[in-house]
Amino acid sequence: MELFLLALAVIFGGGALALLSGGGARLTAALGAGGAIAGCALGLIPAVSSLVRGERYEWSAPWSAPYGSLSLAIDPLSAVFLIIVFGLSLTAAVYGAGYLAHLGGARRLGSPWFFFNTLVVSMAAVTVAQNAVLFLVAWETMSLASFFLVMFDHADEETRTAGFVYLAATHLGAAFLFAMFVILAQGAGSLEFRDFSAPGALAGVVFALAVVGFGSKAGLVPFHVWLPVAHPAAPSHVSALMSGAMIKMGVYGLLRTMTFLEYPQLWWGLALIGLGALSAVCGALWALGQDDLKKALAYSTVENAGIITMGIGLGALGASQDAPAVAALGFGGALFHAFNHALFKGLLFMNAGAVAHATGTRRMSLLGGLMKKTPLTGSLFIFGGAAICGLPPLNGFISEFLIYLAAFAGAVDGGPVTAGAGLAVIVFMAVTGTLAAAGVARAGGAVFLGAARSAAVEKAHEPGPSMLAAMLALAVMMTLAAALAPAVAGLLTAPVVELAASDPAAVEESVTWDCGYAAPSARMQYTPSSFAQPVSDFFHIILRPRAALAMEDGLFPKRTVFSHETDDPVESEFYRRLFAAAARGIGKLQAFRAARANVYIFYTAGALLALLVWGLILS
Amino acid sequence: MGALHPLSLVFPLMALALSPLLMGVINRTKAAWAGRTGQPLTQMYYDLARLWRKGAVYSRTTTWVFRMGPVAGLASLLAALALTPFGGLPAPLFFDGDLLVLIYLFGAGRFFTILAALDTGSAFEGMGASREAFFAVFAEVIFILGLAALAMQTGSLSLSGMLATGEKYDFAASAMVAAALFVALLAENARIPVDDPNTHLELTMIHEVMVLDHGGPDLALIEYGRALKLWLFSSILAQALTPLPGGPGLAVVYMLTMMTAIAIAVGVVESTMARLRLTFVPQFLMGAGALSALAVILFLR
Repeated sequence: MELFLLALAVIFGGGALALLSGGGARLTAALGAGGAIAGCALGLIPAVSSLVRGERYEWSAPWSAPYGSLSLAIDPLSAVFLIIVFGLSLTAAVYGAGYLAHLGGARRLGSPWFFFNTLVVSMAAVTVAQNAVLFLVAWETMSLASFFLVMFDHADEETRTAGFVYLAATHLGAAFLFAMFVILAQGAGSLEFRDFSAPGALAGVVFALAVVGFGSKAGLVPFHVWLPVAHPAAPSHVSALMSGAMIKMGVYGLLRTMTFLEYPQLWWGLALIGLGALSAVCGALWALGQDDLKKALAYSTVENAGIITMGIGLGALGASQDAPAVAALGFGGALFHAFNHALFKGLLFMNAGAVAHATGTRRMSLLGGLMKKTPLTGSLFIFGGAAICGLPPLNGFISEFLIYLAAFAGAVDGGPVTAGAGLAVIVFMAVTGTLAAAGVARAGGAVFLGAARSAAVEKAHEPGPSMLAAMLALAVMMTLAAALAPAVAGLLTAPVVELAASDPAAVEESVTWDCGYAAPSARMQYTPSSFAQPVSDFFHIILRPRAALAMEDGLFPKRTVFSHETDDPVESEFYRRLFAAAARGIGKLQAFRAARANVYIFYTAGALLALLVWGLILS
Repeated sequence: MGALHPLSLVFPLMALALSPLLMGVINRTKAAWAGRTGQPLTQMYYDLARLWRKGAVYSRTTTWVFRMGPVAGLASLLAALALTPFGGLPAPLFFDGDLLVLIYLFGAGRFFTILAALDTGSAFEGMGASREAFFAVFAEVIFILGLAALAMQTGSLSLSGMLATGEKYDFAASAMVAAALFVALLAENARIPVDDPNTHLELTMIHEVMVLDHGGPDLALIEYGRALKLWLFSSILAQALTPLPGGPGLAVVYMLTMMTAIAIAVGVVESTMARLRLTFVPQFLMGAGALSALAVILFLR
């Protein structure tokens, strides 16, 4: 445990020194990134040791905050998430050192590194906190540090909007957590996690609050709207860390809360499966509708959070229905998928950063043919993409396999409710899997394959060594994660590869065959939006495609404009209306506003008087 | 789960050797229906040998992804072959949940074929890739629900277990599962009424248009992969349809007969039906999905 505290001190110290150094970009990066790298490597030691040995390390100290105490513990559940946090932060710091260095002397890099390191420390603190006050302080620090990182490009109007959407969403979510901890503390008489319990009907209330509060951090539909705006706005190593590790804090919180409560009830499992299925399918569909590469990846995070939640739901269902196989496979699959998702989503966001850095745009309809310019980046994208679709034998398949297997075990051995829920998971996993594969093929195809759609691609180049090294390290970890499972599919691949490697009689090069048309151009390629058209039209209720065609009449029309966009109805229909209604309602309160101090003093006195009367009535 | 039967290792070799014959059966059926004699049953072997000897032409737009497409496609099918039981005996590899590996291997093959198509930068191939990705959403649900019904019927989570036993046979449910699996076979193997393997109008094709730019040995790998995929699907369907007769010898003869019958049925469907309009394909596939869902509900206790 002392090693863990030392790790946190090193990370935070590095960040603080980077902030204070004020020197050149190189020194700042060395302090910030160096602190994060060294600290994460140190922190991985106790985390791995706790997980491998199944041990629990504790440490506590008194704290002057009311009801607070600095009690920390690493148990195997914390250890899984600590490994995610430290492992991904380490690679993200390596990547970030290269990524931020390209900005040259244009920006002071002290504060980005300070907030990055603070984010890492606060996430680690969230996973080990054993006191509600400490947990909430860490939780808020995490939200604020990531807010400042999202606002990195604050000169940009869109980034500022994204930052405030994120700040509002994260605080609405936190409000539910405050309520949840108050209820738990009332029953326990203390704010220590070990005292928490909630009997009977109260357990259901706590569970519901946890789902909303932690679900909004995890990005579950309909609490996901901040993800697709905040992730694209943040610098890529921060997007990788937020998407790979920070949303997992929501998953961790949900699991940790379930340990406070008695045995799970049936409807918890069903509710989680329902929310998970909704998030998975909608996330995969919305990802197919995006033109911004990082936005598509953000929606893919929503999809994967849904898959993880379906796994947790199956676990809770199995526990409530006395089906230990379903419970073990469901929880196990969910945890392994959380780990795997950190690896491949980290890789893909870093990849998107490399693309944006090389071409200056993230719009897929302007890219294409990058594989020729940046073969390493492109190959890594296809590797990460194949893993995120759950293709065997990569690591994504193994965790999805466990969740599927939980569903099958439920369908075959369980009662009608378990079997029905299992079958629903099977169907939704299958739909999600194929849609995700379509989405990744669309993104990979539009960005890296075919011919260049604009001049942005012409001057593209591979990213610097530290960015490449971070991506390669994640790819290696993915391979290792996959190799732990029985190698089934890879067995027969080797002979075919040799077969195809034998030289064909003669190899020629030519143009792509285009029906005999003499002057094919890159503009004639299928675009990302045309690739997704059958899906977006079929699922128009969820995707809301909008097409606009402006054509000139008459002979030889010169200019024709076509645009195609897809909306997120949860944002455009639900939240816009909700906040518009809230604004109208709150607007009525304007009547109480007066620009005179004596009126406010009257309000204060009135409120105190009312409290006094209330207190008298109660006593 | 006992020791591996030596024949279990022979069956995959048989599939490798005999699968092109199934394509021959379909072609002969269509020819007979149209009043022609048709190609010899062994025509595909000659075609494959001819293609294998040819050179290859690669578009300058393409990268290694395009060249890997056919290899990855065939590799995933070969791995799937190792998981598919035959003639009532377990497959060379079997474990709980192997059906998921099988389905995702088909998915992997499709993923790399789609990427290879997009790598050409051709509007036609993009169109085919887009349709293939879309229809897969429905085809995979039919297939996985059909297998889930079999799993619930037999209580086994392994293909080898659920296809080998005919003890808990239920005619109505099996008929529905078989009908759904037959539609899955038509959709996954790019046959009428979902896709037309013979059309030469690119705008109407799906699978065929995705491989438009492949030639020579690459095309041979793709064509051979199609034959192998048809073999895999029809052998699964043959084992799901009715309980197998006892004894490996009799079971093999029975299965080969059934698979020939399935190939003839595909040929008859192809001779009597037109390809559906693309907008109707999802409805057709969802109808089959409803059948497998109904079969699953029959097994809900």
